[in-house]
Amino acid sequence: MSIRAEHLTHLYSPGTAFESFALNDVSFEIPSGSFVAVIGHTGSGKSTLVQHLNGLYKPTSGTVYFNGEDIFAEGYDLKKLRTKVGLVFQYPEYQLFEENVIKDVMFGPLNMGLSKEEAEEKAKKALRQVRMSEELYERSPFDLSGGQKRRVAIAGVLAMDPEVLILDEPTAGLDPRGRNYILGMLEELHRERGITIILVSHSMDDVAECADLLMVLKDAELKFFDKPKEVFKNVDELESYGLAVPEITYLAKELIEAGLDMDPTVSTVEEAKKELLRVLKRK
Amino acid sequence: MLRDITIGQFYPVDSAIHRLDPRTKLAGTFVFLVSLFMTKSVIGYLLATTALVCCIRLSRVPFKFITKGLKAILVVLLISVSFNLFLTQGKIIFRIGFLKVTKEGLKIAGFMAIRLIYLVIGSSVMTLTTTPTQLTDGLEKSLGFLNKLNIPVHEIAMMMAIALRFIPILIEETDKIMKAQQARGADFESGNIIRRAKALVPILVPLFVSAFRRAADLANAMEARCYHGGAGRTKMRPLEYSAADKKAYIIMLVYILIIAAANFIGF
Repeated sequence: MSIRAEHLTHLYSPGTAFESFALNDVSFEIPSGSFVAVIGHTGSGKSTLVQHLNGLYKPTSGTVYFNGEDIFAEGYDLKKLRTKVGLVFQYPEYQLFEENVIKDVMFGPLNMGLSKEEAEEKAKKALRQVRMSEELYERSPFDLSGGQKRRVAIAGVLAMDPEVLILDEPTAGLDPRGRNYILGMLEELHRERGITIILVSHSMDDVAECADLLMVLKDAELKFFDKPKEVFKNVDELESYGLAVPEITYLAKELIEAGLDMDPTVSTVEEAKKELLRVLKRK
Repeated sequence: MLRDITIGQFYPVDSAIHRLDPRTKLAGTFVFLVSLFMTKSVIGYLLATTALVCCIRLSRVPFKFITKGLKAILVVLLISVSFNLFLTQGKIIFRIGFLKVTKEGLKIAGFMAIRLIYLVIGSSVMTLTTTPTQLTDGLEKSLGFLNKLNIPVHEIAMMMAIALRFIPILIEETDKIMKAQQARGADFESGNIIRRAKALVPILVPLFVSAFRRAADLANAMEARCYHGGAGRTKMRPLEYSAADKKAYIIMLVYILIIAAANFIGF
């Protein structure tokens, strides 16, 4: 149950003045059940990369294997793949179209060929998972708030019961409360249902808290693919890519420079608290 | 797939044609189109071809890129060619069933095809070498005399500029929405016409919603910057003719005179 990319290369508008690499020889393997964050500056190829994973984009060369099968091989059922590898686009609230919330969420399950009753059941389950209250089910999706719309859109993908859930910047444009809500929800899905989650983001603070693995893209190339802590050790390199390590790691760096003997790789507030208490008690 | 639409697209390279004043290019395109419809002779078409090839070479836009725009008119082209080919009266060359092909028909159809193709290529050369902003600036200035007839030239040019600007945005948006719905298992390719028409609803509704949202945002942004129409508005880069533009005008004049002369003599 893994996703493996081999020498994935994607060229935009080959043979014209617009020619440019969107992905350049990217290879990796995402084990089943992991929580992966994909990080990179605008235009680094993050969105293009994730759209290859469910076959929306065809690579110029290289390929992707899902559970050992080449998804770009002749005759591979891409429609079925897309129900297993759910992709939530950036600003997904702009794809809502039905007259009410529940119908919109049922769109995916109905496309899978389920009956109306089954689809409704799946939709309700998904809406509960994104913590939408029941009285909103019959409302028009266009009357909801921004954060609610986004949760409905995420439910629209979740309702297909995917094994892998990819989210492209799900927290973009949300206030801190909306952001925490979504991230909390993803962690819960990951923990309780064992869904593999691939989260595209450009905020290190977002991903330091929840990701097991971190993928760093720069100019269409994969620069790092490792545990977040290992990646955060390369502060200078990350900064040269226009990225930053979490705020708390910077604080740790300054404390060390000020003479405190602590672990430089702390990346969340919770970790920093424990580490600081340990160091201070020892003194 | 939607990326391939080239209408109104600009090809960013630096060339003699790119550097010309947009008014010159508009005039040039106009002269070229007029010459295409004036010409009745082979010599005229040869001249037009030479002029077109020179312009394309000078513009440094790959030929493949220019001809991409032709796909869009293929159907129109086929229909008009076959009508002319089969329905023109004259000396019959051969028959296919009840259809007869005449010498005159062959000639008219051939010229018609060349005209249409050159028309599209000629205007593509202009749009590919001129940014939409330059293009509307050029139009606004060359049509400025219409202001005297109480025609709001600036406003029309502004609407055109916005419309042109929105084409790539809406294409991209459509592409994105299509992919988002495909990710939810939508299928646009199979089924009969009714099913396919129904499959468009999940694309069209979000597309309209987003177009209206964008329009409202843009109107707000323009008002916030005190936009109040054309009266008293100055340009950051006023259009000015250079020496190259003067040369271009002379070339155009010579070109159209030769075409007219060729016609007159009756080659």
